[in-house]
Amino acid sequence: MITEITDNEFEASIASGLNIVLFYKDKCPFCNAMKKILTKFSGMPAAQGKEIKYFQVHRENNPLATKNLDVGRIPSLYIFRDGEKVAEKSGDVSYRRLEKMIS
Amino acid sequence: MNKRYDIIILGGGIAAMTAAIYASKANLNAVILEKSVCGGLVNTTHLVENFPSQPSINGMDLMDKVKDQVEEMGVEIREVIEVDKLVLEGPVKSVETDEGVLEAPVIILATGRKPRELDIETECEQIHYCAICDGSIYKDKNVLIVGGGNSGIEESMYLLSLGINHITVIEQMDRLFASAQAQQELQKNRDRVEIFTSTTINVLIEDNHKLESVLLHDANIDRQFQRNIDGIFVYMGHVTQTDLFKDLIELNAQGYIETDEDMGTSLPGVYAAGDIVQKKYWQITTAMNDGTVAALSAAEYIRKLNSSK
Repeated sequence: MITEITDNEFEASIASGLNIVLFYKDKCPFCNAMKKILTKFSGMPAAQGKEIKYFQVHRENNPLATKNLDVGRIPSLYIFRDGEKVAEKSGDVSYRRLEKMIS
Repeated sequence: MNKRYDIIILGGGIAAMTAAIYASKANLNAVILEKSVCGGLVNTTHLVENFPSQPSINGMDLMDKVKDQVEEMGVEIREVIEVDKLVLEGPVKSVETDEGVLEAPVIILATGRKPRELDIETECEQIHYCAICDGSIYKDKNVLIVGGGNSGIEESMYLLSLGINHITVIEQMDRLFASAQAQQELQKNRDRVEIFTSTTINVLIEDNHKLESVLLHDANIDRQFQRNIDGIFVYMGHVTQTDLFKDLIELNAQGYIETDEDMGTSLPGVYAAGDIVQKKYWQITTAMNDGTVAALSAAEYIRKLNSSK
């Protein structure tokens, strides 16, 4: 459900449509929670019909995207619409909060 | 229709998972409700070195092993669930969640604690509570550690191992509370570490929303001084996570539940385990003890309940 992407694939991945990108790293329990929240969110009515794509970027292995977006605290969520960043949030994001960010 | 269980376990840390194991062994139908992922505070511990049979193990790896065991025993685990309301009084307890209403004659409260947050109004993104999560971005940079207890000193060691350039440790009390051994270990890196007691943060200085430096206050000599700091890691102890039931059950002045020897609370059929319980030592092993006793006591309570019908 969540597609792993790298620096090389980043720009093309978010270029069109509504895209949610999660920056994570290994051994980060809050990142694991965020992945589960995204999975749960994707099945909720708020996400239906919006053709949202979900991506994850390993912060340690992808310095370019990390630097370009100035990713600090993780997990960090970024929402892009047709390549433009429309929202970002680090730390805990409940799926109810995510609903508001998407709307 | 509401889903019915024998035991609802609120929380997914080591106390909760131990309770689940014992509930399963007693042939009780138990469910774990965890707002995040199972593992609790142990998940954020770099190395656990006081767990019998595991001389040194990453906290998350240890918790994953326990969770695997719980799942293999057939206990239902619901992670990233949002609990909206609890009813703890009466013979049937209920939990309203975003996934529906769950009911059981017994609830075990094991919601644990979370790190106490820095008492400064700020949205600074360079304040952290998890070195494992965010430490690596400060390689070759300067970090401030707030708190001179075991967590603060041990996480300082971990950050140094990541290649942090320099660490400033501050403790608001007049001495460090970390073990002598931990302090000695940190002192071996004295060229990269400085420690101030009776010291607090006065001001965070940011440039374009990025932390540049901090103004610290040393109460010993009533002196304010500045340090160039790129990130702050906070280890000022913990607070209980009792928002869901603080108005439903008796808590002491510090926000902990005072249980009887069966881990029972002020309400029949409601037990507590782990870090939300008032005790002298909050350890993984003492949380496991709580979970064990709570589940066995719950099993006995359910047996009596059934035999009286």
